Amino acid sequence: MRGLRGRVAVVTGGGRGIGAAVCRRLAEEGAAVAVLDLDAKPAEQVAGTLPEAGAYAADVGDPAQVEDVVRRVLARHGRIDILVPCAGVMRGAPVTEMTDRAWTEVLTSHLTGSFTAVRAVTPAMIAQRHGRIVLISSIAARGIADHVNYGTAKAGIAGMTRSLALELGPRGITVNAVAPGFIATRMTREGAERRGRTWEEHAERAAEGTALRRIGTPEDVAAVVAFLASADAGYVTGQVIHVSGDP
Amino acid sequence: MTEFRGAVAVVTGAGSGIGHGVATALAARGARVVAVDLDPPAEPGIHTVTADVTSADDVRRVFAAADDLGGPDLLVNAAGIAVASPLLEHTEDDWDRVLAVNLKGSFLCLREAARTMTARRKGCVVNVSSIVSIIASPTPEIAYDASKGGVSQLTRSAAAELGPHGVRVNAVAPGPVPTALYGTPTGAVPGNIPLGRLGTVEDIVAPILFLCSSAAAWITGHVLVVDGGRVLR
Repeated sequence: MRGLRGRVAVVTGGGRGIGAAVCRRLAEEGAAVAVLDLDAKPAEQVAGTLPEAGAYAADVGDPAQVEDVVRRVLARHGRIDILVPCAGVMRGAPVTEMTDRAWTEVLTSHLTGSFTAVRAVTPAMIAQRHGRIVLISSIAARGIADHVNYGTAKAGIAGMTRSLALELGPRGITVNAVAPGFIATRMTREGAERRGRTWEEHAERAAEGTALRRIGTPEDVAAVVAFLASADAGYVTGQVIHVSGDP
Repeated sequence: MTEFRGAVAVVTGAGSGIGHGVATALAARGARVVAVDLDPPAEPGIHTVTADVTSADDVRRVFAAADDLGGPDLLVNAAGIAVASPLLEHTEDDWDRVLAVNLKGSFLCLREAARTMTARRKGCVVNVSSIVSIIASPTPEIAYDASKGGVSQLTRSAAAELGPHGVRVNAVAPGPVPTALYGTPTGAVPGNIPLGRLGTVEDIVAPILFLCSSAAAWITGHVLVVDGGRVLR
C-alpha cells in the first residue's frame, strides 16, 4: 500500500471530514500531503500526524492565497502530482428564501474553489507530464431539494471533470471525480440539526435509502480517491464515480 | 500483494484477454481462482473448469466447484463474444449467440453466485460491459452493443436487489483494448482518445481488482468506464 511513494498531493478542506480522511489515506499510500484548510488549527492537527505533511491556512475563495500555497508546496517538494479539492460549505434553504450570500458562498467554495486550485497546480503537472486531479462531486448533482446552490455546484463539478479530462488528457493528466452519498461528517450532522432530527434518526433514514443499507464514512470516499490517484487508474479519466452504497 | 488471500474467485472468459488477466492477477494476490472457459488456461495455482456460460447446467457445475472451495467470494463475468458485421448482414443466429454468451451468461453466473453470496451475506460481482453500451460503436456490431447495454443495466438492477443482502455488483466499461476479441488495430492510435493511447489488458484488470477490493466497499451498481476518455469525445 505504498503505491504513492514519492508523490506530492495537495488537499483543500483537508482539516476535517472527507478532506482529512483523504489526507490520511494518501499519506498511508506514501504521498507527501499539503493539508490546506481555512483554519490553521485543524490543518495542523491532521498534518501533525502524517509523515512529510505540511499544514497551510488558506481561503479557497481567494485565488491569491491558493496560488501562494502552491508556490510554497512547489518550493518545498519540487512537484505536485495529486490535487483533491475537498473544501466547501452547505447553506440549505428553500429557493424562495435562499439569500444571495448562501448562493455565493456555496458556489464559491465548491465550484470556484475547485477551479482556482486546478488552475494553480496545472502548470506544474503539465511540466511533469503527470498529474492526477480528483474532484469532489456528490450524488446531489442529480438533484437535491432545498439546496439548489449545492446541487448546482456539484453538477458543475461533474461538468468541470469532463471538460478538464478532455483538455488535460493529452498532457498526461487524468481528471476524475467521486460523487459521495450520505457520509457522516460535520456537514451532515448540521443537516440533522436543521431538520430537527437526532443524528441517529437522520443517519438511519439515510442508510435505509441505500442498497447497502448503511451510511458512508469519510474513509470509504478516501479509498476511492486513492485509487483514482494511483497508477491502477491510469486509463480512467473524465469519470464521476458514485460512492454512495447505491446504484 | 495478498489482498485477496483466501478469497474464492470465479472468473469467466478466463482463457484469454481481460478474463485471463483478471484470473492471473487475482491468483497472484492470493485468491483461489476458478477459471472458466470453453478452453480454460492450464496454469499453476488456478483451478480450471471447462464450461459454456450459456448452459445453466454447466454454470451450476462451475459454482458447485466454487462451493467445494468454500463458496464464491468474487465473480468476474468476462466471457464475451462479438460478431462484426453490418446490421443487414447480422443473422438471427449471430444475435442469439452474442446475447446468449454476453448477457444470458452473465445472468446465469450472477444468479448462481448470488445463491451462495446472499446466504453468506457477502460477495462481490464485477461484470465486463463496454463503452459501446454508452456510445455507438465505430464499427457495426449491433448484437454486441445491445448485449453490453443489457450488461450495464443488469449490473444496476442486481446491485439494487442484492445490496440489502450484503452483495455488491459493479461493472467496468472498457474502451478499445487490443485483445483477440477486439482484434489488433492497425495504423495510428485513434485521435479521439484524450489520453492518446489504446488501453491494455492491465489498464482494465486494475480497476476490476479495485472494484473487488475493500477500497470499493461502498460502491455498488456503478459502471466504471475505463477508456482513456474516449466517451467524452
